[in-house]
Order: sequence, then C-alpha cells, then structure tokens
Amino acid sequence: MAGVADLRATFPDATVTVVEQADGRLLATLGDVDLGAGWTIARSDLSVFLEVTYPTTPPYPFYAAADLQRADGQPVAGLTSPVSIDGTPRAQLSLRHDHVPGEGLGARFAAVIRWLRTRP
Amino acid sequence: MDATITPETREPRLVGIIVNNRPVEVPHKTTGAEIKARAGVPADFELYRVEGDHERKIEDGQELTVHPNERFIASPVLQPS
Repeated sequence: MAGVADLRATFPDATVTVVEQADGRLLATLGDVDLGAGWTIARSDLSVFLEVTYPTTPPYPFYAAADLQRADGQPVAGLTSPVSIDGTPRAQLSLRHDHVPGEGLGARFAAVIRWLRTRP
Repeated sequence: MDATITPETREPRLVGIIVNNRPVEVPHKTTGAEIKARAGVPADFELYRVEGDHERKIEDGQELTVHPNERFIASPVLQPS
C-alpha cells in the first residue's frame, strides 16, 4: 500500500510493521517512538488502522502504550486509556484532521508525534 | 528593443527537493509558503525541514536557501476530537 511505503520513507531508520486484519484493514505500527518530555514513559510504539477506504478515510485514531499519561497526572484532551485492541490494552489518541491530497501517511504520523512532543 | 537579461530579470534557479516523499521543484531561495504551494499542500499545513533525526519548523514568511534532495514534511495541526 502506498501509505505504508510513505510511512517507511518518512521514517527510514524506524521499524514499521503492518498486520492485515481479517476485515481487510491494515494495522500499521511505527516502533519505538520518542514521545518527548512530560510523559510517564519515554518511548512507545504508535499504531493506526488503515481502513480499506484509505486515504479517503483518514487514519484515526492512533494507539500508543496503555500506560501513556502525563507525568503530572493531568488529563489530556484526546487521550483515552485504556482501550482494548484485540484484547490488548492500549492508549487511544483521538486526533483528527481530514485527509487531504499531498499529505501522506508519514506526514500524519509525524503530526501525531509532534502533538505528543508539544503537550504543555 | 534591447531585452537585457539582468540579475533581477533572470529566472530563479530551481532546485529539486522532497516534500512528503514527493519531488518538488522550488527556487534555490524560497519561502515556507512557496514550498507548500509548489508541493500542493494546504496553506494551513505546518512545514518542517528534516535535519538528521530532528525537524525544524519553517514559517510561511521565512526565507530559506534549499539544496538538492533536501527533505521536508508538511502536515496538519491535529485537534483532539
């Protein structure tokens, strides 16, 4: 899929895994992402399901390690934890923007990572 | 009529850069807004210059000199929903 290739090209030194689901969706995971300061964990995998209608359906929501929370204990709008993904607890990042031409999957992951790293 | 080519009238030198993994040609000296426009990304996207394993934000009005095959990422500002 072009989106996965774009993700790999955007993060050439990172591990990208893709698992096809029974319903045809793809679970794309960017491994070992540096979350920046202020979180209880320093790094996490970052995942998103790509619908069969991607890119018409934008990548949303994203998922991170279940124990992701702010070190000061403050709630974060858009962060819900835990949610269950195939029985595995994860933190859900509900960050939205309509997909537009010119934005690849790599740029979307970069935007999510940037959001994580710039939380007050 | 003497059509004299001066430094001011000469076409700017174009350089091939990469924006969101797509090749784009921009003038050697350009701005953040021009890079986004030539890359066909929305004007409200944020533009970042990839510098090793870091990225540096490029503002719309910021003038910069680009080099061949430099990489940029343009992405939206995400909002919790």
